[in-house]
Amino acid sequence: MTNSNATLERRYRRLMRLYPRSYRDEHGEDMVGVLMNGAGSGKRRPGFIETLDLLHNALTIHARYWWQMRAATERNSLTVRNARLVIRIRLAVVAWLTFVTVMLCIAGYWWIALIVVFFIALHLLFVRRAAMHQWPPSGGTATRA
Amino acid sequence: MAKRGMQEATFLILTALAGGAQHGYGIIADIEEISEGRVRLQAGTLYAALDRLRDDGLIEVDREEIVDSRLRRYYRLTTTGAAILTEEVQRLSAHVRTALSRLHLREGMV
Repeated sequence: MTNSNATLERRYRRLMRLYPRSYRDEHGEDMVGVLMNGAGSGKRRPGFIETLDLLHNALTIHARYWWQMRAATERNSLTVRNARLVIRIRLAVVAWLTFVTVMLCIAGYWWIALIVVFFIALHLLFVRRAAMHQWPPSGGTATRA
Repeated sequence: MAKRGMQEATFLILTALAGGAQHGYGIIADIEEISEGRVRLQAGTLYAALDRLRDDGLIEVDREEIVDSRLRRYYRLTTTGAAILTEEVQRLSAHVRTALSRLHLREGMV
């Protein structure tokens, strides 16, 4: 191995540290091989695009691992995600209704506002019930609702 | 995945592996050849895609070899991977047929 090769390989290995350890253990050696194979002779440092690509993919994989870990800790990730979406929509509806109520009060239509408030109360009750129904007590995410 | 259309990189990786097991650099070189030099995958992109495809069960590790004191992991297409590639090829062929027939029609109109 020539000197410039050794320098290049050391630099590639340094870049590989951007990846999660488990990923590096699994693919690191293989990837360094591919990177070195792709490098022409006399190349001393990783290319700019190559470096950006490694950085981008390392971040993507970190995000994916984080997401997988989070999903694994939730007992039924699909149900939780669906429930979360429903609750988000309901909260958006409540926020919108609140805004309408405030506008109605400002305009002086307080009796219509009263009816809207009644619906908000009803809605909040449903949100609460949905949260209690969908979230497993051990999930630890119920507090976020 | 196939319903929304496959990314070109994914399609080319699966196509490269359809010919037989290959290692990382072999896939990059093969894709460059298939695409007539237009697509040269970066190592980071390739490995991110390989990792994802393996998680989805489209490809699997075939074998590992040590060449010049370096590890080389060979990947191969799984049955599921072959089925999904076939599905994508059929979808693309249908699009190509439609495009061609419309272009012929257009030429006829001019």
